[in-house]
Amino acid sequence: MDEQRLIERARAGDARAFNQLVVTFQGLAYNVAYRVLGDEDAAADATQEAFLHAFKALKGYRGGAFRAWLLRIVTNACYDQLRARQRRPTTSLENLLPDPDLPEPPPVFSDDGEGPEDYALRQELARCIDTGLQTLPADQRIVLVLADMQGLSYEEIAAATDAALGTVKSRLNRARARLRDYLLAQEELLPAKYRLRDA
Amino acid sequence: MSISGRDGDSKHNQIIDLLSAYIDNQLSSAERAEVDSHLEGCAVCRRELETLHWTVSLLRAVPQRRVPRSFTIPVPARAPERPHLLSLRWSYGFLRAATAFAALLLVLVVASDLVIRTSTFPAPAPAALLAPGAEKERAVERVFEAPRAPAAAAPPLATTTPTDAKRLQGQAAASPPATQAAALAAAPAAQPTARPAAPEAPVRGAAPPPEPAAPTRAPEPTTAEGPKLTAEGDSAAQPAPPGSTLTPPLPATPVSEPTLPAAPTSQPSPRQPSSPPDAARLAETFLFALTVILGLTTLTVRQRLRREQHD
Repeated sequence: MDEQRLIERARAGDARAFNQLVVTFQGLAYNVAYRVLGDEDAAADATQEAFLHAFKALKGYRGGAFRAWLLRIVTNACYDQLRARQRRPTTSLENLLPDPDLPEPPPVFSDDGEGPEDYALRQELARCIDTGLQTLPADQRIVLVLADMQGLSYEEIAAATDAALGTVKSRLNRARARLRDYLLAQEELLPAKYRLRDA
Repeated sequence: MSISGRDGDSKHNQIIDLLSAYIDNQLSSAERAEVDSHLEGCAVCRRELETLHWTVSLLRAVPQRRVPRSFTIPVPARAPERPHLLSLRWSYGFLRAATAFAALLLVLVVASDLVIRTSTFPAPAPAALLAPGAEKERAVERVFEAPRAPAAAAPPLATTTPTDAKRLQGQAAASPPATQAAALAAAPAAQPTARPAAPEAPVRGAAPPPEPAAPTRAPEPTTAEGPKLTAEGDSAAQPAPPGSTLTPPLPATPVSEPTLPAAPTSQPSPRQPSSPPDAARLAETFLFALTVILGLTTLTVRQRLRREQHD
């Protein structure tokens, strides 16, 4: 069933139709939340909250890009998580530590026949990037994640973050420059394959 | 090694601000040309662009994380469907009741129509003649009273007239037009016999049978043939009392009264039965159509209800 029909049915209160939309978009929503929050549990909570809120708010959805509309709810849920973390900083620090009891999520290999070694290198890179992302202000982080990790257009990002196009451009510009500075400073931590070859 | 921080040159800053959009092809052709021309002669900005490209490529290389669990929302046990089903059940109940009511109405209308038709078919007039009949009785009462006042010897005749009037009611209703001719002929013939009977006193009162036949038949043609004949018939009937007293004018008017209304009522009587069946038929057709439509709708709703309950 196509997305628009599912949206219409979900708007009419059909939770099953909405869950088909959830299955389609939960990967995107969770990855955005995870990169913004840097924590699995917080990301899962934010994602679940976002979908529950989206189902209730769907009656107010008046067409347009559904993905951007949904991501706006996800980013708002992320802001809620960040505010909650600010209110109880000690628990948030504990949450940020990896839980040794939890198994690593199953690997996601890319489509181009990537082997386990390459995948491990990418995971190493991801850890480095995740740490670097947490050094950015939330506004810049969100724009950077949406643009360079999820491939959204400037217009979609503007809609998802409820910001003007110019604001999106400047936030992205600053976020990239700031992360670049972090990565250059931590370059030795990156797998050799991903290091910047000196020109 | 933050290039932008090291170089305070406004041109550098201006170009550096555009580099991110340059990477994403979000610059106008004029802006792009400006950046290109600046990059050719500025190694610092080329390095800036290169490191930004590197950063973006690293971000794109980060693998997507698999979701730790499904984020589908709990489907309440048909909760969103419940109001729909409820309204469907309500409309089904309402439709069923409405169909039953329409069917009942149809049966009632058909039954009452049948009753009216069967009762009016053999004798369509009585209902129409009821009112004139009452008038006749009143007239006869006057006839009865009039002769009594002038002559006490008249009772026998007077007693016959009410019964005649009653018979007249029945016969006028039941008598077919074929008897009219015979009645016409009989009226003048019988009346002369009746006339002498009145003055000739109570002795004849013991044998009234022939008398009733004459007066009863006399008005019959009047009911069928109209006022002219009644005038003649009445004029023939009138002489009967004159023999005794000067009362004739009194009975003359009452007797002509019942005949006059009888004529007009007997004419509309064939029309009257035709109008109620028309209305009844219209009502029957409408009710039948209503019942069928309601019945079909009820069946459709019931099928939908069953289907949705199975889902």
